[in-house]
Amino acid sequence: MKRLAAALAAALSFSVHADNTAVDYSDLWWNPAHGGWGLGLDRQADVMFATLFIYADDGSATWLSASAVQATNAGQTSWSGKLYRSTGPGFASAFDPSSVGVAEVGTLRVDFSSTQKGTLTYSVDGKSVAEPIERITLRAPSAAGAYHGGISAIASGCDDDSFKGGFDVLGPFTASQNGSHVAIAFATAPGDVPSSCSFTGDYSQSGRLGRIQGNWLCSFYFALDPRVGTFTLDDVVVTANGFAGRLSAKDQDCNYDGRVGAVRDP
Amino acid sequence: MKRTIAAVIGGVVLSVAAIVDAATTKVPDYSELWWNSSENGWGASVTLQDDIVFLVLYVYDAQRAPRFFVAPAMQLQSGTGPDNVFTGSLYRTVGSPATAPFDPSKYSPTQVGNASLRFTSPGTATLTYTIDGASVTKTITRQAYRIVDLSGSYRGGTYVNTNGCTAGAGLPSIQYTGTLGVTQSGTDVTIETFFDANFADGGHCILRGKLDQQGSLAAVVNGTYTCTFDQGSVPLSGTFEITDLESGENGFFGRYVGHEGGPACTHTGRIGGVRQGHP
Repeated sequence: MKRLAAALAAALSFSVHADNTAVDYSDLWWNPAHGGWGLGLDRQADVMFATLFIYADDGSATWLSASAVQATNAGQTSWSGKLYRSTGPGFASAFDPSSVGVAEVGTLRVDFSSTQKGTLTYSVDGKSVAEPIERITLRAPSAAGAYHGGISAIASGCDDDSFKGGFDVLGPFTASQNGSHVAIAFATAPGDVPSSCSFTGDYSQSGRLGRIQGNWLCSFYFALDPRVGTFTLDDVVVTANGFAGRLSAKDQDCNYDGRVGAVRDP
Repeated sequence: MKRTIAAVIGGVVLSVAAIVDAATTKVPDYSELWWNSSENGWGASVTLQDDIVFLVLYVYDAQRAPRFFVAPAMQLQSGTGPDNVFTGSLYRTVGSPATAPFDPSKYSPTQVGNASLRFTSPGTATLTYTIDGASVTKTITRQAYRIVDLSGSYRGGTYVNTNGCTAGAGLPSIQYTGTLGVTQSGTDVTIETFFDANFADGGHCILRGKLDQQGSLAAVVNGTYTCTFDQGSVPLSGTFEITDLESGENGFFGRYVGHEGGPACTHTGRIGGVRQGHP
């Protein structure tokens, strides 16, 4: 097992882990009211590698790391691990990894109250620190583009029982963006059972995740009347290859939970 | 619409703006903890948002003390050939001690040099930086400590352009919309795609390959595939590779290159889908 500081003797192994369906807290986090320091979190499956860049008692820049931060509750909202201080060869000299030293200095804990906010608590050399943290936002990517995809969701709470259950609508998918306003439209391909949807709303960014909230209108193959309502698309990730988010929506008489996403056209 | 971030790391006043209508994302997500695996003990945290990288260097000074340096606004450069290159100013900061009451007046950044990241692939890069006149160049890769499990049911497909192909359905572009069932045993990955009847009258493909983990990204290499069709077309087979493979709670997406029948016929595009949203 290789990692930033090998001597950080964490019980990690390079193994397959099943959980790839939870919130990805990987990001750069900070307290905007206490600027100047930050927390880097890198999550891979059930482990997070935390790097804390802060200031020592003399005000100089220093860093600590916790290479094996793991969830402490079933909901995976609380994570903790041992915190270490490393020493090593100067950056301008030849680097000899065998001369890196590591000392445990305390513990690090993060309690997430949402996908975008949490509380960092750590102890270093017997002193405790607690800070509210949130993801740093530098840029909001544009979702605009041509894709193939759609919605995969489940309807519940409907007056009409025939509407209840899971469904998919997939086909050509476009997204346009003007400022924070996003419009998404997709429809089944010619030859498929006809359905179409449009989602329009405002995009907001928190770190690497986005959120779209707005209104939607769909003509589903299983409903005679158009379905109209409001929606929230959370944990939206836009990349060079695609776009996906977690859907929560309502219409005249149903609730919908699922996902909206698409593969970017070649 | 622009919202100016006056300070990213305390008083490092940046000309960084959260531009909602930024250019469409076109580069792989380089966000990760990077390192040189032969020099275990230091690292570089890369946070990419659209076309800007926030770099934190975790290194040591001449007295062996741990020191961080930040390049909070590394911009994507143009005209750099096939590589994606980000450059920006590198800062040393001093600030309010972590274990004392926060005092913003103690914060002060000083530019000590510049930093450059040249990404030669989604998982490899060259880091170059200068601090107080000392220049350092390192090859770096993503840190990987877990192999992702792609298993699941997805809704999406394979979307490619073809080149050099003289047979096959849907030329010159192929769009397999439908379902993707992914199973995984260790690093052995099988993707079974069922596509709708509006493409080649329906059918399915089975893709098998080896997962190559690259930090939070992955690749599927040494892949082979076969496709069969519901209405009697002859089965097709070939080889493939998926790179820049991103996966998470909502889906997976990657770049796809396949060769059908032989090297002359190339399929280039993307594969992936949204995770099935219902039982």
